[in-house]
Amino acid sequence: MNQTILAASALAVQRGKKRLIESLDFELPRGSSLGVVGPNGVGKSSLLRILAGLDRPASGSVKVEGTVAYLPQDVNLKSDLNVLEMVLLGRARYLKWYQQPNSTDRAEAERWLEMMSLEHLATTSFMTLSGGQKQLVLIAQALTSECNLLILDEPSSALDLQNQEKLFAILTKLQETNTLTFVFSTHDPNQAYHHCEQLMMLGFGQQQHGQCKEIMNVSSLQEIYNVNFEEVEWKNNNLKYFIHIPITRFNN
Amino acid sequence: MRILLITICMFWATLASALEVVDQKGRTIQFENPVERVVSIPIPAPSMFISIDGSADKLVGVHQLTKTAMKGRFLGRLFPEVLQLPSDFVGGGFNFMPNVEGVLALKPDLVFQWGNYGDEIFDPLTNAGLNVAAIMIRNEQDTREWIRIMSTVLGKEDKALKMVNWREQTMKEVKTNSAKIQKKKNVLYFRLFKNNLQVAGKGTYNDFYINLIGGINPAAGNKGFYNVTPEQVVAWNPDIVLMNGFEPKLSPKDYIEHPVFSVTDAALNKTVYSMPLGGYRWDPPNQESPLTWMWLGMLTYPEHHSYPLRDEIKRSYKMLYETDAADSDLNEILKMKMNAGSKGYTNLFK
Amino acid sequence: MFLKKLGLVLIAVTIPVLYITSGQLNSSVADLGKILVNLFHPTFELDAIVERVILLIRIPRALTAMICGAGLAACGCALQGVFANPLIGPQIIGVYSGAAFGGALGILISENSFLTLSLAFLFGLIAMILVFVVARVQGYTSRLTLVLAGIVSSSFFLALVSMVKFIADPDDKLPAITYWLMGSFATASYAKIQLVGPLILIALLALIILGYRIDVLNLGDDHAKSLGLNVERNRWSVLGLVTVICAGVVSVAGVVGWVGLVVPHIARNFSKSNHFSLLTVSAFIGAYYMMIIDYLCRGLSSMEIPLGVITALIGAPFFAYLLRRRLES
Repeated sequence: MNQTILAASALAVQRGKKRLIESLDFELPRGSSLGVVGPNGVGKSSLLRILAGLDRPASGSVKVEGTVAYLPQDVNLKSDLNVLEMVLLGRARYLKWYQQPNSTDRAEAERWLEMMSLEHLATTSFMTLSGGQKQLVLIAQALTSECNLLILDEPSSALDLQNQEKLFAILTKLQETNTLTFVFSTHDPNQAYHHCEQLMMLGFGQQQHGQCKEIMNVSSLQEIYNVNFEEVEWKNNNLKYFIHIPITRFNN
Repeated sequence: MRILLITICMFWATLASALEVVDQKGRTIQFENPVERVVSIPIPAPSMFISIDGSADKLVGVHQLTKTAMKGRFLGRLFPEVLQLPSDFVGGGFNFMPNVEGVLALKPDLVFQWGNYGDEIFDPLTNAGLNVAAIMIRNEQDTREWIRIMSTVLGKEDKALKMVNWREQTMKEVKTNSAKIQKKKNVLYFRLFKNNLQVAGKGTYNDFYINLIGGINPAAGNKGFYNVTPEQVVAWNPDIVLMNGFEPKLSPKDYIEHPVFSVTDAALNKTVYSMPLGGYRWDPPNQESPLTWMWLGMLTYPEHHSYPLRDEIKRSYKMLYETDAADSDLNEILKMKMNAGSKGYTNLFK
Repeated sequence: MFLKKLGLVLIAVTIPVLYITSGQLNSSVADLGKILVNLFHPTFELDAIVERVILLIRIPRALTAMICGAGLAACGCALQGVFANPLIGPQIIGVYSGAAFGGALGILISENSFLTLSLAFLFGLIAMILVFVVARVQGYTSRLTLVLAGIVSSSFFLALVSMVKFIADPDDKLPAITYWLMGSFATASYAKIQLVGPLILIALLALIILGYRIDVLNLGDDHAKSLGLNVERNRWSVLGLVTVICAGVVSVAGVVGWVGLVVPHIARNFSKSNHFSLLTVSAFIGAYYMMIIDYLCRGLSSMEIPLGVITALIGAPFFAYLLRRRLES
């Protein structure tokens, strides 16, 4: 029984007077993932915020089964807490106003830190971490809050390549072991191609939603990004990769 | 020829009636005509004015708080017309900022205004072409000054002489008596008591007459009026305590029955007295100050200071206000009832 | 470690003892000891004056200073957490001006100090309600609008204070009002402590318990909401508690500023960074800070220096230093 975690119905996203996304319908089952690709300003963040319940859609509705955690693009938190205290804040949902985190809560937090391989940083000040580490800590925090759905806004934009790999490795592991459901946006079509089942492709004045492997190809990418792509297959794993070839239309 | 003579006479006549006075800011004010209409902004000025003129006829406008100070009391009964005078030319509280048009509407020949509270309240009046005399009431010197100013303006120089002589004589007599005192006592005056404790330090008029009668002011360590803690008062442990005449309903009981002060010497001996209120409060400098000195001297050192106070009050009131004060008036002025429980009061001033 | 704790306990006890036994009247620790013993069973012969000064002046004043200091410090800390801004103090939300007006009004219209206290408290609350009404739009209050509404509320009530001063009798009411506005513990009494003390202490305790939630609020509205917190309700709860404490403090001590701003920063050096610890440590340091400052007010000279003056003279330069440090980093 694959429960639907996230469902959108006739969803429309608007910025000011401009309609960015029209009547979007989809259902995301538990354990699967949705990727969102498109150029800057097309409405990725707006869509993600609406799916996270932070903003209201122009029309239509979003339904989430359980709780949703949202990780914004820029982690510019100014907090003096150490890593463990930060992750412990994830228990807020389960504590009444007069309750303080107890040993069970602490154990939960430590468990997730371990999962992220961050337990050695437990007493380090959060502010002193690198961008990538901060992101991982916030993911640990989100998981401590026992969320069903995790929404990440361009999680790799602040990370170097190695940390990007690490991030997606963890997300994939979580998908498999905990049937975590997640939504993320990215500039790298390959990340989307290799890590999500469903895909939302957003371009200016156009949108496409469907199974990722079905709808992503060179022409659909070129449509939304307005640059050249080439498709290649790497012989070592027979997987498809899309490469951006920087020849502008002008030179044609 | 006759026309020339008449012209010359008229010229001399105007010269003769031309009046000149120097106010407390050192400004010279000239009057072409005798002063008939006076507006007073400082609160105690009308009382002073009445004491020089012997009447309130020339007052055409006074501060609101002048009226509240007079209402139901001796001077208010004597000159009830003052209570009907207009006050809306100046605000109701601590601003003394005149509404110049309101003042002009009263057509005054002279306006009295504070000289030491800033030019903002003074200049608008002079700019409007009014005759304004600056008044300050801080010490004995100031008192002599405004006596001079007001008497010059009113042509009552002989009255002024009487008032000043009285002050001089009394001061001399008091000083002579004080010089004989061997063991001095501490006298503390509370400028404020109800909400917080404020005492009179060095340079205040209260400090002046405490020293005049041979007392010591324990608060003289600092200048001017300032706040103290109850503990400081207890540490000073004054022999005599004076309660101000400004706070309504303030009485010696407030000190004597105070949870902390009740164990001090002054409370145990009941040497706590409330300042009298005659033509004006006896606390600050005014036309009745010699009475204050005598009163305080008798209370502090009855063996050294002895004056027929009641007769003095009657005599001076006759001189100042041209009126006979009755015994009931004197009882009210001296606050006989309020001070009845205090040591020696009833006996000294019966 | 044990020595450190012992040292702290010693300091915690010594400072109040020194405070209670020092002043213009000579008294010793032995006197204090005798007085305390006498409270349970009359055994010692005592100078009535010393006894009264210690029991009726110094001890109530010490207690009031500690309670108010702890309250204000915790308020400043809580506000800095909720607004995620270290340069915020309790004056910004409008309570102070409302309570100042209430107190000035009370002094103007009556002689009853309990009426004054009640009016100060009442108008402190009203000022906050005004902020609530002005800043809350469609069920949401942003932090910026809160600050702006606080400025509006403050300005309004300060204008009313000027009005009160305008019509006050210059001979007795006005000096009383002016002095009260500068803040002082001179009128501390057991009656006032009984009235306002429990209120402040309970609100203080609630604030400390809410420390965890303040940490969540500190992350920002979206993030806090994402973690499951009702941002509006929790933020207003904190503000409500801060209002109660500040209104209580102003009603017994007049307008005392710069404590809520300064003490949390001192506390940061001695505490873990989470708000539960920070609030607790701020409260303790605040209590002693206020006590020491109050000693300067009453003990430096025979004059009683207004409390607000000394807290500002110390607080403002410290604030300037903080501002520079922030700009430089």
